[in-house]
Amino acid sequence: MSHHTSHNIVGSVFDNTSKIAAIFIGATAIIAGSIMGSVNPFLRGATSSQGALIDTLFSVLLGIATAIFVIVQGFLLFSIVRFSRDPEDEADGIPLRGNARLEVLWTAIPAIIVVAISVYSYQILAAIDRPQPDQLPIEVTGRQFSWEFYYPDYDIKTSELHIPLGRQILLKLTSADVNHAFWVPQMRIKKDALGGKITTVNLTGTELGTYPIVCAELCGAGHAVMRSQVVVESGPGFQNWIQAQVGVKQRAAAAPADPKALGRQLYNQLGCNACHKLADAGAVGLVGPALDGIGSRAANAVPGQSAEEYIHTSIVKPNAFIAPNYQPVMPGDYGQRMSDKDVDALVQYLLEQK
Amino acid sequence: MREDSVVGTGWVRHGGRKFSDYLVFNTDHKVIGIQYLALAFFFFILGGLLAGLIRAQLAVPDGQVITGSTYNLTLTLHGTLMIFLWIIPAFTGAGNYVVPLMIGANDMAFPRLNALSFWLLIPGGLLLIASFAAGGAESGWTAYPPLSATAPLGQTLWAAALQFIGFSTIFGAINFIVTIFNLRTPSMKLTQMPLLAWAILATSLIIVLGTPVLSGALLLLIFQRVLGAQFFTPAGGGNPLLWQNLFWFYSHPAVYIMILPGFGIISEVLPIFSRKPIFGYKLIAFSSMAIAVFGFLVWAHHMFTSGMDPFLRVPFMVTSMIIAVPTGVKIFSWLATIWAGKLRFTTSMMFGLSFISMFVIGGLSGIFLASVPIDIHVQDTYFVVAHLHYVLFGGSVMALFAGLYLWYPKITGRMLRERLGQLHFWLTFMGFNLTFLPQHIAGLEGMPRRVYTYAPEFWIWNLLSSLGAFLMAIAVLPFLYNALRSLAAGKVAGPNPWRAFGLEWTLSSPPPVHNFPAPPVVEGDPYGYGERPVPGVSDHKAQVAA
Repeated sequence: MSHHTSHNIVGSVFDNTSKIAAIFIGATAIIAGSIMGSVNPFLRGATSSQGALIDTLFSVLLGIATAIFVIVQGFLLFSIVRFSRDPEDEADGIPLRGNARLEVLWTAIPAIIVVAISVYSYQILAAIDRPQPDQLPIEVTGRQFSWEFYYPDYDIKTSELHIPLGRQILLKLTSADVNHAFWVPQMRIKKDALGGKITTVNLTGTELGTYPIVCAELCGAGHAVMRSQVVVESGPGFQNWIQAQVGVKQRAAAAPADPKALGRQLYNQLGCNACHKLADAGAVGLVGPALDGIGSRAANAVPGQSAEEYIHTSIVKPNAFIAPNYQPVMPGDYGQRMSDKDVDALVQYLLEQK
Repeated sequence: MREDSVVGTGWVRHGGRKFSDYLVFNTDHKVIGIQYLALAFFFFILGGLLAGLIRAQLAVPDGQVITGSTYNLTLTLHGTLMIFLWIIPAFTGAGNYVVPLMIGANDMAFPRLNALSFWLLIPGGLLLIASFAAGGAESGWTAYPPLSATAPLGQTLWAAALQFIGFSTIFGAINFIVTIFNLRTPSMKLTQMPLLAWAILATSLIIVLGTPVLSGALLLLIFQRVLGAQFFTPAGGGNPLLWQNLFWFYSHPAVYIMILPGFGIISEVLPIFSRKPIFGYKLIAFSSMAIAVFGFLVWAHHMFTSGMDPFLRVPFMVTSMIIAVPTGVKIFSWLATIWAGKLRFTTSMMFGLSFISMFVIGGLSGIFLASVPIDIHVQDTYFVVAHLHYVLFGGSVMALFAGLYLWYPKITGRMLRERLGQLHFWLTFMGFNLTFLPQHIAGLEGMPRRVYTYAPEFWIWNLLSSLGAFLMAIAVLPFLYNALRSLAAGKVAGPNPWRAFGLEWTLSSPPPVHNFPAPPVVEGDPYGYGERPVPGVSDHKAQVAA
């Protein structure tokens, strides 16, 4: 065979049909990329200002990725259809071994694209990390398998996060045991909570509402149910909530003789409310059995156990008795974390739930 | 040294003449290759059954098939088996069988070390299975402390298992490097080497540089668990991030350990079934080496949300983006290889083409993950699960099957049934996409990974995933039947059923125990389609096109 120069071979393998196909694939890529980039059906409507930035960046990347996807799959499909061999054709294809110009091009263009994405991503990252002057600090502690929030400005501790609309929150995360990750999917913000270290992240709620907080780092048997929620409230609503929390705390301190108030406070502070529904405490958790009416049921729950024994055991040794259809995921360390007095108060409180 | 009398009997043998030769310490690279492949396939089935358990549990939001604790055990063993006892040993096995043949060598450089590498996998595999039975290895294949430091006994067995497997791969890699440099037939220049040999060389360099770091980290974990050291717990002055840095310093390059041999196989499959030379040989070979180097500079992108130094995330983002370039170069080179070819859609080719199509999806989702702000949202979600399966199944496993269908006739001397192969391919392809495409959306919408229960809003995506997994499980059956039945009933293959270049195709199928009677002489690289006749193929139609 004659020795083709690279240029001649390219001419012979890139005929008019190929040119039309290339133009069609290229146009489809641009159109599909533009549509996906502007519509972005996958990640939109973030409810934090940081999340909105992430959604914008995602739209741009989705547009670029769609275009590249169409180009590669388009040329692949076209080749499969166009260059499929006749059953009788035993000949070889044209020995085209490379093309310097093409190879430089398809090294350089992707390089430029990824560097441009990096620069844009960096700008978005800098905006996400930029602190506002009036940040509200909130300390977050993850533990197997609950979240605890401490507001140093007001000295209150809660098991769900309330934040005022539009004000930047500085979350300071840590862990009491293994690694956890604080994630609010609707707000797009995620950060690991590690023992012995404080990690920080900014969060600014931009839409009133209640959004789930999810643990995103595998932390043990109950990882899947380590949940809480963040409630974005208007400025006055947030102040009312703060006052209510402070009031609960003061009443409990002023009237330590009232075990029922103390029990209710413990129920919400220790995170029981995150998993166990209980109308009296305003709890709506669904992970564990509901505790409405537990006081009347407890005596008959396990033969040989009085109501008091049963509830006490279920708090300090949660895996001793597992209610039907529930998983053994309740943390086993309440016996160590709580004083005997607190356990008794909680047991008395639950016994009164008739 | 060539007489059969020296091959021995009993527990140390050389060469595979009868079935029992495959069950003992055997120093023939071809026997060892088959041992690797058979063992790896066993673990593929086992890991697949565990995946089935996962998908059964997740078919409905509040599945009651297994408990949270058992679920964590299951996902840990699934990931560990699929990575360390399926993909890596399967590629090692394929490389063991074909690389010495491809470069005109009579065996690997250190045959006894080669056998040891394989046999180290047995205690490794047994310990992993024991870790499941003992309970406690519930911290995922990434085994982050403090969770993995305080878990019960099974986690120690898990770490010990990975030590055995780690040494196995290190020994194997040393063997490949020495073999490729020293036992190559003298007439074959480095630039005439098959691209699979380049890929295995790059992979082996990564293993030699990276796996000892994993072994060290595992040793620290074992010290912490058994001797009470405090490397990873803050209460004792340790640091949980230390593990993450050491682990990912190995485990991100390990991603390339699991994909570069796949790249190599695709670079062999596409020219054969396109009847065209590989396009851009030097750039493909060079990009493998570039990935081997750059692969060590990107590990912290697994830690963008972990509390690492915030500014350091930026340089790691840039390197993680740039490593997409050499990979993209390969994709474009493969597209140019099939362009204007004479495509034959054998099962091997179908897996090869689907590799390109699927791997691109995994590559593109990788760009999203490399971008720090997007990673903040999608890290540790089902988006990552989808991404890694598009790379490791859509990429690595598709490539493995492409290679198995290509070399099965060489290894066994028999052809596989094409129709069963096509059935295997289409069931796999459809099942795979049905399983993993929806997981992208579940992750973006807020479903974290490694959960045994989830919010009802993710039900539809999980149901589709579970149905797809069922299809993938069924897909294995025609392959198993085909592979076993064709051993005896398949059409006789002859030395070169694909009319392919490459020294392995100049030998009988299966090749003789000592491979080449004399060092073979090569005329060029094994991609001369359309340039020169395929040696030994007399059919005039197979000759050069005018």
